Amino acid sequence: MSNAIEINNLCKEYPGFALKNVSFSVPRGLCCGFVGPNGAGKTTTLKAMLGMVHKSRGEIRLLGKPDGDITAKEDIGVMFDQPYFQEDWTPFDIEKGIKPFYRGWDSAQYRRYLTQFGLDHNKKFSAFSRGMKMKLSFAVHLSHGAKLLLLDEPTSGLDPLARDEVLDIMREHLVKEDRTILFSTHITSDLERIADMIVYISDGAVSFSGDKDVLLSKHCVVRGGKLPEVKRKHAIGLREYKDGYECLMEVDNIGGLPPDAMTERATINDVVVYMERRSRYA
Amino acid sequence: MFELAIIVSLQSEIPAYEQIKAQIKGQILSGELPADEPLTSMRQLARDLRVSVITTTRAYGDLEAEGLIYTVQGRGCFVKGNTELVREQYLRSIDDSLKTAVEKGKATGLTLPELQNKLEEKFNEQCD
Repeated sequence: MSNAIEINNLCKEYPGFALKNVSFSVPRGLCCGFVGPNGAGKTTTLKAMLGMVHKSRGEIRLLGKPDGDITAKEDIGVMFDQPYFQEDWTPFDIEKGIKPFYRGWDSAQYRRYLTQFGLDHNKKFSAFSRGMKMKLSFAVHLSHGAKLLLLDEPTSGLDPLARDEVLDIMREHLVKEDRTILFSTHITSDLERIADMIVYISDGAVSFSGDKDVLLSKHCVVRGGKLPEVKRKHAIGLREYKDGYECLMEVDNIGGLPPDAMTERATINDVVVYMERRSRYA
Repeated sequence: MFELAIIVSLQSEIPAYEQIKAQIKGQILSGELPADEPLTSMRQLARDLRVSVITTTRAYGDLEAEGLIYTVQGRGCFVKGNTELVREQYLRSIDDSLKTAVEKGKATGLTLPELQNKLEEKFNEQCD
């Protein structure tokens, strides 16, 4: 399987922040969650992938083409957390404005999506709710036949139903072969049922990238009364209170815990929270 | 296309791909899924069950490795008409039935020769 996204040693320096040798790849056909705290470098990475910020060093290939090759853009759909269409444009005006840029534009498809998503053809963009604006962005990008979707927080600020609908649109898109999605999110529960892979970035560097199930099966959450001194070095993001403790631990390290310790399956949220707590308070 | 009835719980300790695998396996072994029946495509199943593509790919991969399904390039996955498997299943159910017969025989105080006679009788009945 070839890679839809390939990033090697991407570096970008800003005053007070830097992307440090960011490397990861996403095989074609998979859905990858891009997680990490605010300011970790998610948006900067996405922008570097699109040539919106100039990288200092490193190599980026999207759909097999090096960055700077604009022919790749035909097949890429990008959404940042704020949909960016002209406020007084209607979905019809948007089509007129966008269509000339894409050879593969499918007007019939666009109209089908507008109907499917319940978007009024003649309503001004500014009058749509946030969820509707997101769906409209999807309608646009799915209508030019994007094979690679790069989404920056597509579900943030949406109510639970709208979020579910957006995730369903993504699932529907993934049914066909050779379609890849990279999406950043803080709502890690969104990833549990859709992402194949996780790229976890923290303070400008990738701290994990790979199979989601591997990441989750490697860790568990441990809770108990008192953590033995010898196990402290294995505790990730340890939180202690008067009568107990909780932490994340690698499954390989749970041997030797006292019998009162309870372990349970880690979620992506657990992994992110405990790892971040470790790096911030260690 | 045969409708697969599969339920996946993310609360379960059992990984999602194991759950999917076990349920399809059950339906094949029970005969609910007939031989050469096309299975829902992996990507469609992922969408329907709201799990990741890797999850369904892994489930189908395991089923193929166990000889329960086969892949036709470009056409998808199908249920294997595996006689050996069916045979194994029959043998297992014979074991179960015999076990029940022995248990009931013992409970009513039958001896081994008496049970053997009964088995012979039944066997001969079917041969006529």
